[in-house]
Amino acid sequence: MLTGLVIVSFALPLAGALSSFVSASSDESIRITYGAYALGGLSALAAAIGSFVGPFAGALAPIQAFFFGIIGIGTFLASLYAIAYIPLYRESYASAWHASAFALFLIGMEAVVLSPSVLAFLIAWELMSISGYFLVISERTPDAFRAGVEYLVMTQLGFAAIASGMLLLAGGAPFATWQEVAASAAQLSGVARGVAFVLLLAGFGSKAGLVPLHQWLPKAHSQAPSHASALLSGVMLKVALFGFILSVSLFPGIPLALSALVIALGLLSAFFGALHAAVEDDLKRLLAWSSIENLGLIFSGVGAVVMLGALPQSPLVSAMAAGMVTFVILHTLNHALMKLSLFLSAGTIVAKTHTRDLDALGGLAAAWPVFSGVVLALSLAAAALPPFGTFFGEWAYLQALVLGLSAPLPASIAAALVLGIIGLVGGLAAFAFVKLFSTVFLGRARSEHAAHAVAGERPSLLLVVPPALGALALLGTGLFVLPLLSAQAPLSAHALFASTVLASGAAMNAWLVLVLLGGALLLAFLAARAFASERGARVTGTWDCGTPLTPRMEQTATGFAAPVRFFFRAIVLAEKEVTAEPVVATNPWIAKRRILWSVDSFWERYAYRPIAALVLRTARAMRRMQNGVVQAYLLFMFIALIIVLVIAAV
Amino acid sequence: MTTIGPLSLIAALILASAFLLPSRTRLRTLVQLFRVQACALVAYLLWSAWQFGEAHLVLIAALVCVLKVAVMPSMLLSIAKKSGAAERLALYVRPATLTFIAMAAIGAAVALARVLVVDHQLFPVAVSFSLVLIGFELLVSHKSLFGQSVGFLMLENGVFFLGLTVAEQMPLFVEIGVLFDLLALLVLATALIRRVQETHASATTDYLQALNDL
Amino acid sequence: MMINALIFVSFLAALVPFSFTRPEHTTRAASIASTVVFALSLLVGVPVLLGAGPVAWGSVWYVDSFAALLVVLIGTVQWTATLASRPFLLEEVRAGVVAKPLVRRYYVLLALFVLAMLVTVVSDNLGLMWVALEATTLATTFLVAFYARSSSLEAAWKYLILCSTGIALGFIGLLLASAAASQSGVISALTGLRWSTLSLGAAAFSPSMMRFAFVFALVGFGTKVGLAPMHTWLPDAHSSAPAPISALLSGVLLNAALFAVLRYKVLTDAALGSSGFTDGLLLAFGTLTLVVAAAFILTQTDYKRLLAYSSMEHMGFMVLAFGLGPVGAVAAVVELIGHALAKSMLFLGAGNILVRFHSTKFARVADVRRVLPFTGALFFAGILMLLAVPPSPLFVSEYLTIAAGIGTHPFVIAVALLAFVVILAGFIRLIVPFLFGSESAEQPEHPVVRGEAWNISHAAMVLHLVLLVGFFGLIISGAALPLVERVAALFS
Repeated sequence: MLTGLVIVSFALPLAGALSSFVSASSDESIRITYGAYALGGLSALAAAIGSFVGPFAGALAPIQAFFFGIIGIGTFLASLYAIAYIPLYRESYASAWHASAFALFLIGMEAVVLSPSVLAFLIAWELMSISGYFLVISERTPDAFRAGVEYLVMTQLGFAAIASGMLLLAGGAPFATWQEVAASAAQLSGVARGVAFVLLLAGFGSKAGLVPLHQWLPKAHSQAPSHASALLSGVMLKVALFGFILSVSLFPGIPLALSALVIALGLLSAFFGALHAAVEDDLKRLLAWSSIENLGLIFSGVGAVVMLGALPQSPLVSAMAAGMVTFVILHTLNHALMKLSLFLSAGTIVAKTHTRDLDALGGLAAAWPVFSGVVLALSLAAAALPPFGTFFGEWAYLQALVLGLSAPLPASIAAALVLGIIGLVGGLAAFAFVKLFSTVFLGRARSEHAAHAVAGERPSLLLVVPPALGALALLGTGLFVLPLLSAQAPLSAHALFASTVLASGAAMNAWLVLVLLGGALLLAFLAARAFASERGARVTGTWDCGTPLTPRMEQTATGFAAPVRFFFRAIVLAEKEVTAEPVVATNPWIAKRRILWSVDSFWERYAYRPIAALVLRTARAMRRMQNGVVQAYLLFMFIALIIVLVIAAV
Repeated sequence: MTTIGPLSLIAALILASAFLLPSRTRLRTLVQLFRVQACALVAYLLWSAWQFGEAHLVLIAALVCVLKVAVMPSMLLSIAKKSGAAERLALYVRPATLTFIAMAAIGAAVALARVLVVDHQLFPVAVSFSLVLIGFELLVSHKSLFGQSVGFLMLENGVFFLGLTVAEQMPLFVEIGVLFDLLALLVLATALIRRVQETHASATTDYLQALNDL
Repeated sequence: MMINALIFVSFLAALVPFSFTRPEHTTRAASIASTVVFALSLLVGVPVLLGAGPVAWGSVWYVDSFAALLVVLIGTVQWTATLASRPFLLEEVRAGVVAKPLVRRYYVLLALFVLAMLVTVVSDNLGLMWVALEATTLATTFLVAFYARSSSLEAAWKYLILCSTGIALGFIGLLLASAAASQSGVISALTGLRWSTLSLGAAAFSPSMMRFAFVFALVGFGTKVGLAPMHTWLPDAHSSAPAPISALLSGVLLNAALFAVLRYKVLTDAALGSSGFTDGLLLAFGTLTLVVAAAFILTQTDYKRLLAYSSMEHMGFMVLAFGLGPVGAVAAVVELIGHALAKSMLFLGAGNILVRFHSTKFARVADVRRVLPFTGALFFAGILMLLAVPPSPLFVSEYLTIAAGIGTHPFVIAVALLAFVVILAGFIRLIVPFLFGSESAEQPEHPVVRGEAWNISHAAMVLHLVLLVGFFGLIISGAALPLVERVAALFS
């Protein structure tokens, strides 16, 4: 039965892809193809749930079932959304190639999670990566091609690192299963194990968006069509996380230095992600940076779990580990839901307003109240506010850190430091999402495009329902999953996820929080009613100093982010360029002024661009060898002969 | 170098012709000197046939005489005259420098021969490697396609001579195959040279530098 | 007998075009002859591959599993290339690029080329192998110079001189090996050049002599394989030749030259007692070739040259893999099969593209997928196969090479993987706008006609694709593994 569900989850994408070859651009065929994908996702979700509770519990390893379920949820929501989204972009996305790339992407991800051996894993991984590339370049604009090249180069570097790391652990046995790899890893020297760990961290980290290998992510996720971005951000990053957790389980033990490295990289990514999300003014890139931030947090959690597992066990250590594990599980699920839904919502916004620029949007709340409510819920969830599940996940993380404050001295300083960083990250993330919601939905439309969208018709049902489902699910994780985790659930069967009971004295009841929140809102509402004037509110025009109010007078996203940009200007490399052009030569005071603010990526300027320039320079220097002079060619042959003869004689 | 028999003398003659070749700047002289070298090769073959009593070497000597002394040099000269190629050959390096390089090449050849073979074969093997190295030198230093052809032919002479001294029994049909390969190569080379001369009015590599990746 | 029939029929195939004057008849006759050669190559090679022992005839022919694999590959690729030559040449004649009498010359030289390659791989006598390898250079020189352009002349001259010089050096290697054999006293003078006998007695050869023999063989025949820094003729020759000929040059001739190098490797390893010396040299040359190829691919402007440098890259990779022991040898054999099929397929597609766009520059060509739907789709599939995307056999060979080398030569593997990333970046940067972009950088001289009719070149490309994917499936499922191991066992 379980096998049947799994097979269906593989077969339906294939069937959908094949049917798209028959006819691809009619609404009917899009409905059939992507409907098949959605059903496949549901089947995967059912298989995952069934593997935890139900008649065939334990058939899949818990970690596999967990991630398989996330893939299923993602597939379901994104495919459902795509049924309404793709007809809006018929020339670009309604083709059999796109549908096949999508199907292969889904199949690749599912196969990665289920693969029993190194070779199968790598084949599925490559399949997933390459079909992801074709999704990224769907628009076929020069920007999309550029983003695609960066994505592909990083993905190949990642593949090289992963393959090398895994084969190093396996001792060069090409057809080893995971048990054989673990057995062989135990025999390796410490140095070899260390090298393999770093390689695997680099490989999976580059795919998950860990700094400094993250630069491809904002570009690729913003260029891809929204139903694909949702999967790339929401699900593929989780598959990379799965790969990393899987590799960690292959090692007999991990030195403290290496797990500290994981934590450090995770926190660094969280910081950079949150910071760039706060200063970014492209809607989808903001969400992509937010993904980097969240994955960084999750990686730091995984690193912490590994580190705590290596320390001598005490009640404090196990309590901290329990908190971290809860965070990792909850946040993986929550972030997947949240990012999926946010990208799908972003897709709706972009489809209607034809712009991704936050500085050009606005005013959508008045026109689309339900949709705005959904996105408000999602933004609150992204900022980790109750009653959504993300709040409880982060609470578990903070809980563990606060417990760490009571540890002996070096550990408590580290915990305090991390606590500070988390505070900064959380603040910046909240800032970013407040910026997102307010600039897109509140106020008035700041440009023609947005104004048209506000005046036009509302998004169709299928464009709103999937994000809404995501928001509801986030509420659900807050209310239901935490108690599920707190009890000794089957998820704890995997060694990494053992002991998921929350530390004593810090139990959090989600329903209580919801009731408290609801009560507070009710109180506020009643108070407002009680202190309101008898005559009711007076509706009149806003005081405008005699100048008619235009949308240009509203605060823009760029303006909103100015303090953050200023404070962190050394890191975001903020630059401001003011050009003043006098209207009349004789009067320099009346001028046309142009202000250009720019933000650059620290890593790109100091690492990526120099390395790329170096590679190109070396290549150009080597090209001088092919200068067209045949005598030179003969000389090369001669020199090669002499050198090798000398080597042979020695 | 032990016995200074006739074979060694002939080998010395071959070496002398090789030494003189790099500094020649006239096509005619180049080809005639090559002819001398080929004749010496034939003489070597005939003497070896007489000394060791191997009849098939006579057949090979006849073939070498026909091909390397008569046919190939004539082909080069006639194509050069017909297509109106320049008699003066352009070089990348001065003839004097080339002679010094030839001396160095002979030294290197002796060194290589010492590593490879024992005394009694040392001189012929050194000569053959000298021919190979100096042939390379000609290939690299001549701008003219004819000069390059002669350089290649000398390289092949060196390889052939090495075969005579080192390999005891080369099957006849392999020797014949090698010689006919060389003939075919020269036919092709002269056809190409003629076309190059027709297209660019100059049978040098100056006009053959367009295909590059700079 | 079978081998004799194969060689004889290949020889006849060279004479057949002489009896016809009209291009249509010549092409048809040549296609039929090449089909017979293909069938005979299967009859010769498949039984040996499937486990029957090596086949020999007198002291002239000797076909073991590696030779049998090459015979089958040569037979297959020459068949598809000859068949695909038909629409290609007829189109070129129609457009006035190629004069009608040249069609006959093309098929005669092509058949002689195939004959020479077959003799190279099936001959037992090392001297005959040398003669045949040099003959391939001679046969293909005027195919490289086929078009009446000055660049073709230049490419042909460089090809002729460089390859012949290299092969002459290879002959020195042959002579030294023969000298080592006769000095050891184990091998009688009569069988002095027979590889089957030499390989049996090689353990007694003088190690120092064999080291030098291998050096000359590697540098000499390695020129023909396209190893850096002796590779400089390769991009010019492979891009100047007509596309079906480039398919054969890249797909099988480079492999035949590699075959020659490997024959000497086996002898040297036996004489030295261990493969350390030869492996070290192979690793060095392979890595250098990969790095040089990556540098040229990254900044390429011409798609035929790109494919030529890619051939150089794969040859370097094969040579590197052969230096990594038994697992590496298996990887190299898989790579050999995969590259031969994929590269020839891509060159056939490139031929169609050239005929339509009249330019080999990337700046002049764009949107191939829409202009030539069938060729575009198949070319795209071929590129994916070449870039080692599953289900390509090249993925398996890359994986096996990492497995073979990561423990013993990690730096070599690291350099190779970095070179692959650079090569991938170069390919994607160039090929994706080429296939999918809507506008080319420069305007084409003549307006480009859209649309394409299905012809035999597409069927040939589909056949290659099916063989590639099928081979991948057979490897993954393990069914083809014994066959591949049988071939690779000759080198471990």
